[in-house]
Amino acid sequence: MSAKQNTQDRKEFETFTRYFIYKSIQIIVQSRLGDKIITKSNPSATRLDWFNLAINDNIDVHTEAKKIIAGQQNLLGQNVCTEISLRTTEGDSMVLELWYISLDTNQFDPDANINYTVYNRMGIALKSVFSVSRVTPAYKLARRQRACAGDYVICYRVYLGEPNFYFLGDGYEKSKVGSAPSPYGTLNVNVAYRTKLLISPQKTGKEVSFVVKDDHFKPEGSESQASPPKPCYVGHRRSSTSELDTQLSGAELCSTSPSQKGDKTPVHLSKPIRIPGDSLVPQKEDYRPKSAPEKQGDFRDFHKVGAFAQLPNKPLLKKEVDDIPFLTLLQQTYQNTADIQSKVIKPVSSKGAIGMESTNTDSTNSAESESNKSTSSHTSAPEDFVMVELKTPFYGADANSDLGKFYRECQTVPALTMFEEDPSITEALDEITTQLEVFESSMNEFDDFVTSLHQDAE
Amino acid sequence: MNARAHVFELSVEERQIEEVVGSLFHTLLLHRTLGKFHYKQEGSYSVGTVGLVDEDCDFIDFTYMRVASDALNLQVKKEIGVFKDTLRNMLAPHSGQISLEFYERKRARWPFQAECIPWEVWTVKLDVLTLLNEHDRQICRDRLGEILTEKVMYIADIMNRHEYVPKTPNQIELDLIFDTNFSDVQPYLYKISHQSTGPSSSSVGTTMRKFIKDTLAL
Repeated sequence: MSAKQNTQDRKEFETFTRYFIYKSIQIIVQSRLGDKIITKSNPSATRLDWFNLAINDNIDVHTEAKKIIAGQQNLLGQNVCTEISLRTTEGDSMVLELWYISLDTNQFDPDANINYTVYNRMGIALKSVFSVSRVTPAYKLARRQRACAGDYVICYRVYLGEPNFYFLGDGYEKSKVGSAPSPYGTLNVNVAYRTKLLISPQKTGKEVSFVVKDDHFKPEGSESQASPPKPCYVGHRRSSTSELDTQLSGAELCSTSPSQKGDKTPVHLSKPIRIPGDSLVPQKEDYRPKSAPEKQGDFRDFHKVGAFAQLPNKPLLKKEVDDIPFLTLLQQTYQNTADIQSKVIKPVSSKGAIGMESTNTDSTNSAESESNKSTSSHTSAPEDFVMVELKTPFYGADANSDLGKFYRECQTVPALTMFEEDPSITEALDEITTQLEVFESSMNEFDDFVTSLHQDAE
Repeated sequence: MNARAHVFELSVEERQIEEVVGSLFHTLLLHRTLGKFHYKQEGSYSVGTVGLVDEDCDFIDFTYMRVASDALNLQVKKEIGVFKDTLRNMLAPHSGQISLEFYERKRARWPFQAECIPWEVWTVKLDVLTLLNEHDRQICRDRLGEILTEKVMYIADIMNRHEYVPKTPNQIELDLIFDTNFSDVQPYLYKISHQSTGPSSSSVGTTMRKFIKDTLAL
């Protein structure tokens, strides 16, 4: 009898855990849609809502979560991670936070009743997920993504395995969100989130390609089996929650069988997701089963560059015209021009993209630019450069103060017309050739002139 | 039995009082509210669903989640409004505290009166700042958002320790544990009380220290 009871309890615990994971992922992803959530309390319990919480399911997210969970041999044998990232229209991406659900089998509460105590504890943990998901920096970014339409999009990705904190950058924060002790272990929900939200060329998705882990593509449910990041709100648009309610209500919602039709269909991992803006399409290379980075990025791409310093030559240009002597002289000119342009445009667009960067960031920006001007003139040793935040006089935290406005106006000053007509290398070479021909034709005149000078001197 | 007590100390502007207290109290109430119970027969009951609403603040860069119940929201708002008015009518510098107390009742037995036993008390102590310029206001606003983030995470931490809450009673004694006056949700019995305190030299000093520290931190 006791053994039978235990088996039944275990089964119930697994069912509750499965739905706890589904609901947690729903809460997290829906909080990043950019909309306010409003659901109604329902005092008459005619329809069973999991954990007595009104959480409408987004069908895309549910399918995704189900697919991932189905890949587990033991429920929560591995962490279930939900990664929230930001991708700009320029193709830069940045992981904002990682939510991970784990089961700690070393800590358990042997006396907890599964049906009542554990179920209620899971409900409380979900309420904490609701509360905490509103206070991390990613929430504000998500709410502003509609206002900054097209500048960036918030994406999510669900995967099994160890959360990869590396992508959260320096100084990320970790917090325990919820926990539900049970006789079979303690169910934990944690979040780790990025605190430095400024996108810089050094902190973009390119950086990701340099991280190589030997066991990165483990055969058993690692990140390689996860789908690429999906934009949060596209799925939302495609299926309204009311639609889903009808589809997932009743028996299907309560079904625990993993042999749903959707589970059996093969998953195309590298399939791009159609989202607004071409540059937002997830890159295929991230998910190919190889241990080396797909893009062999030149390390020099990631060097910080001083405002007026010369850039090291880019290999691309070198390849095209390597056989032409002295071309490097020309190249530098072109590259500098291009660099000036990109430096003028980028901070503005990325600032617009981030949107939420408050006055703090603005002051940091200005400080950074100031110090760049004053200190860095060499590109060879960018590691030595230490950014000192300057508290400039007359510049308050208010971004709209006069100085701030003036600074931004200077930053966004229109390019000179001479830079607009950007001649190609061949055109420039042709021009020089013509000039040389002209000079050669009038060589006699020059010789006469030099001779006359000599005569005068004598 | 001793009640668990938690205290938050914050420095706010007058216009932020309602939102600061509201965000903390509603986060607490969200964790301490269940769906409405419906007893079918003795010992068996079903539980209703708790709806949720995202609430944006106007004077702080902050959003919190509350229970979807107009009646509950109104009641909390009313209590906080009275607290705010009390602080406003005080002579400067203002300070005060407001508490959210969860309790259970014992039935009255002659000749004794009904007894209320608190089991969890959350107190928010506020120092009201008077800021002179927009720059300081912006700093205060940003800093307050960060502090509230910490507090919400602290609340989540405490709630997930799953310490003592009264046991669910049978139908007859339901109103000794839960507030059954709401038609849509069922929070644990709670009481909001407040008191204003006169200015004291130490509180002024603390406020200034905190304010200067915050300014330097940015």
